[in-house]
Amino acid sequence: MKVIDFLRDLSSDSNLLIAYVTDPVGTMDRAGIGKDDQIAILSGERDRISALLGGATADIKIMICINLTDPA
Amino acid sequence: MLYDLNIVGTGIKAGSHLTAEVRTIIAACDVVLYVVTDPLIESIVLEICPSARSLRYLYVEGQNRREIYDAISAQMVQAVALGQRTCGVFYGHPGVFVNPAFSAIRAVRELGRSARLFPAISAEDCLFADLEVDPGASGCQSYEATDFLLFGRSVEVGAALILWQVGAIGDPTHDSSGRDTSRQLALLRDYLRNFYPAHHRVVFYEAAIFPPEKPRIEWLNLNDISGVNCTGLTTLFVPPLVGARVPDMDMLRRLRASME
Repeated sequence: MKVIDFLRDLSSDSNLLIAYVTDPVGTMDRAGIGKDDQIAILSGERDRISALLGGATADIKIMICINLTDPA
Repeated sequence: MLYDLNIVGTGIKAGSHLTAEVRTIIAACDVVLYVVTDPLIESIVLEICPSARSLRYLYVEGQNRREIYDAISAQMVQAVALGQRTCGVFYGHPGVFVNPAFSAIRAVRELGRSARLFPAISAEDCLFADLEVDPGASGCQSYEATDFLLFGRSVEVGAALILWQVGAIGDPTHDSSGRDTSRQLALLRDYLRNFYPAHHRVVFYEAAIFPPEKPRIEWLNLNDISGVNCTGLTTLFVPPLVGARVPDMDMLRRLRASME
């Protein structure tokens, strides 16, 4: 299973989430997640997880703009 | 009930925060246009609606963000004008710090069509949980960081203060280069020092966006904030000053009298 598919299932499948919380390594082993990817996921660090998914683009999360030349 | 334009949010943590209501709306609309950030939530949106289209291409490096947001809004309005039941999907809560959602709703209503914005989990909701802050306990002020400085907002130090987008202070453009924000944060620090002591403990916060991710919770003294790495996702939380809340005894007497 690809990492993105595993994480997607983790976010929507409560049984998988319970299994992961109880035994993260065993659950990822059964899902076929590679050891290096498991280490990145277990780190809980955004940059490492994001790298597994091809990199997130946090910049577009800014969705409000204060115009400095026309504050009104 | 579906509207001509349905504005929804994915919540903050990919998939986990997507409500049943939002899933239903995404599945039911004729056209789904989305502005999400990471491939995980994108894959979830596409799983629900394989024909959904990303508006990511509208982000051009260096362009004024207001122009980008106008273009996002225009895409949604155009779909509605063509008679298609349209869903606009945004990261987080679609009504919290999302300019194009509101401009699209206004434009659609001017066309005589219906529009509605649906609630979702916001970054503020995550902050309250992760920092274990109850906004009802001391009150809470919330400002976009550039707005806070530009308009010289005053601060009630007895209440909590939340400053959003501290990684984009003074920058109206789309800039994904991860620029140095130390000078802008120094301006913010100096302004906050008008209200708080140098050693007041503050938090740089970022909510977790992936299921196994930990939130960023970085405590430090106010005086030290200029050296912190920030992105557009970073929020500064300033706890209330202890002892700064003093009850108005005259009001207390009047409240008691009003209950007699």
